[in-house]
Amino acid sequence: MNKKENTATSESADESQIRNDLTTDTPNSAPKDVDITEDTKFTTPMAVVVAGVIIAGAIMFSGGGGSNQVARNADVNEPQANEVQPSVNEQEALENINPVTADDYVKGNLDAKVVIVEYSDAECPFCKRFHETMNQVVDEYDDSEVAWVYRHFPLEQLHPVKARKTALATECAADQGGTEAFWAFTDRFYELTPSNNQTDTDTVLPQIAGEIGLNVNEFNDCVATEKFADAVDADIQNAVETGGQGTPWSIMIGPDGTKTPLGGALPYESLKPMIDQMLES
Amino acid sequence: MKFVTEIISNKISWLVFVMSTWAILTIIVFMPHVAMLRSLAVSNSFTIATKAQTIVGLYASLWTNFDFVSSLTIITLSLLFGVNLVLITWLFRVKKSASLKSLFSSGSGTLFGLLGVGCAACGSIALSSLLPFITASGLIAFLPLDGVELQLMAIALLSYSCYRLIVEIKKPMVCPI
Repeated sequence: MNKKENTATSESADESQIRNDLTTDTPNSAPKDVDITEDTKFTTPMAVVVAGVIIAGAIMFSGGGGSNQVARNADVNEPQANEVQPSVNEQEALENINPVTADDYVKGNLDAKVVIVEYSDAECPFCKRFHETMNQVVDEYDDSEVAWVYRHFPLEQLHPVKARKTALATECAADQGGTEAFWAFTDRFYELTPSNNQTDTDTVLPQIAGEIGLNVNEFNDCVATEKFADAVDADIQNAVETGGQGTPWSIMIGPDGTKTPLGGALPYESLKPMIDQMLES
Repeated sequence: MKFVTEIISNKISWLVFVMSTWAILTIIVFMPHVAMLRSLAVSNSFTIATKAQTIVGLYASLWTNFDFVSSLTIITLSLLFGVNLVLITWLFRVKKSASLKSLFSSGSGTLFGLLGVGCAACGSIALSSLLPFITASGLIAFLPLDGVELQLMAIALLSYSCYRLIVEIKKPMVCPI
């Protein structure tokens, strides 16, 4: 039996059909010998798929060369625009989180078993969605089980002026009406506004302030003078120090102090199993 | 277009299509959650069942972590990637070769797709894994469509790659002079 005959017997029916089709289309051309064994039939496509997944996985998990070098504030004209070098180890970076205190804006009890600290940008559409998810979480769990802490992380380069102004406005609301006013203002803001820096902050901020019963003139003065700029900057600084590279950026703290980073607008379906496990432990 | 019927009736082609589409969709959807996934992988606080539930639940982030246009783009990209791989593997099985042009457009399309992922996700993007955050968000802010351009470019490249591969498959197998 010559080589050609060997090849022919090892071909599968579909491959010989293809060859026949191709030779029928081009009667004057000689078909090229292709030796396809059962092994290569399976290994080649599998190898391509596996290689693709490995390469993509490598990109995904390598973190890249520049992932740890992040800027504290994207506005280069800001005097505080220093570069911060968070720890190379992501888990170590999480330990840089400022302790949750009574000064924080918390939904739920401060001493709840699970605490989720969110660093949010009011103009980020995904923060708006995560805000709904977190409201669902605090609605469905007892105050003693889950607490939600809200901190500011306005991304100046993506949402210039407006995100920061809104962060300042929420602080001004809290200055007049306490934590309750803070949450009323924040919830209403996310409910009303379109995100992506499309909010008419000059109109919406005083409007919400009026709706929730604040003194609007006092509120406007507070926002205009950036009375709470230091508080907002401190939150931004802390978000970066803990490894935040985008918004929403959250950290879940378990009963034993274990910290789990939650990047992006996680769906409720992903949060729930982790919360349940932490509550059981 | 008889080869289309051949490919569709081939079980391996379906396996390659489903696996590659699922793989790229998973990578794209999970990419913004890499930090959490890394943390879960080494965590002793969660059981394997909890980790699995959390990871499966992440597929819902296709709707929470991306806007409507991005979600559609991601699904289109994943399907095109699957078709590309089916055509490439078919070409390799039948002809044992594929032109560099097709492979390049396929590879670059996939790369653009990955880089473009979540560009609208306020910094939670693959780009920020590769570049310093300030550079990545600066680049996105510079793009008029907030990075959707990269995804559209990926779709164009993968479509072109499909076209190139179909042309190659249809070419007669001859001994070159």
